[in-house]
Amino acid sequence: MNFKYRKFPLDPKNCPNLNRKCALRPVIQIDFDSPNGGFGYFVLIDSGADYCVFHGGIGDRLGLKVKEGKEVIFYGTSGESQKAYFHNVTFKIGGNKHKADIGFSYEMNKLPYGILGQVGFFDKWNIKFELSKENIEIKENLVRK
Amino acid sequence: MKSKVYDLSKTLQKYSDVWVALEPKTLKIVATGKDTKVVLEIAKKRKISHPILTRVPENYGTYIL
Repeated sequence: MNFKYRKFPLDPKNCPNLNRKCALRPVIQIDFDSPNGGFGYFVLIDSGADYCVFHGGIGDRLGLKVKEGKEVIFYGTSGESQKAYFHNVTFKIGGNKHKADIGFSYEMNKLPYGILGQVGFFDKWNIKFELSKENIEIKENLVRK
Repeated sequence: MKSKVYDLSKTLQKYSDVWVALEPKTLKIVATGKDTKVVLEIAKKRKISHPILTRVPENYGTYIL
């Protein structure tokens, strides 16, 4: 599967490269089926993240009792602790069914997207980032455990 | 349903600190609101099938995650 990098707004005053007006990011669409109709959601492919974490409000829309999931404390670059509640959920990536343990957090409203990290995504797919071509290639990892 | 529209830099620039629902093919904004429930309800009323949800943070800044 191939996905294109997506362009997002950027504040040119808060950026080391003066002429940049947008940010190219490896953000892809994933898709959920839900009792009240399916919906898509944007997620950042983030090799630096240990786990996958989505906004708590997405878990709510999936009908999950978010706070009944396994509670995990995680940290971003600021070092501030945040809580996520893990649930096993199914969604589609490029039409392919994918099941993984996902943390849902109500403390990530400063982030525009969910995060696909090592456990739950990189352990199931091989990812090739090609920023120069603005392309992300995702292949099933056939040697996964 | 995979969107083929990739440039959201202008579409999202006008918004701050809201959830938005996007039409899945054009990625035009069809609903905005403070939470995911509100935007999905508005999208449903507008008969948008399979909207895409994303969040617009207060500042669309530079990220190092």
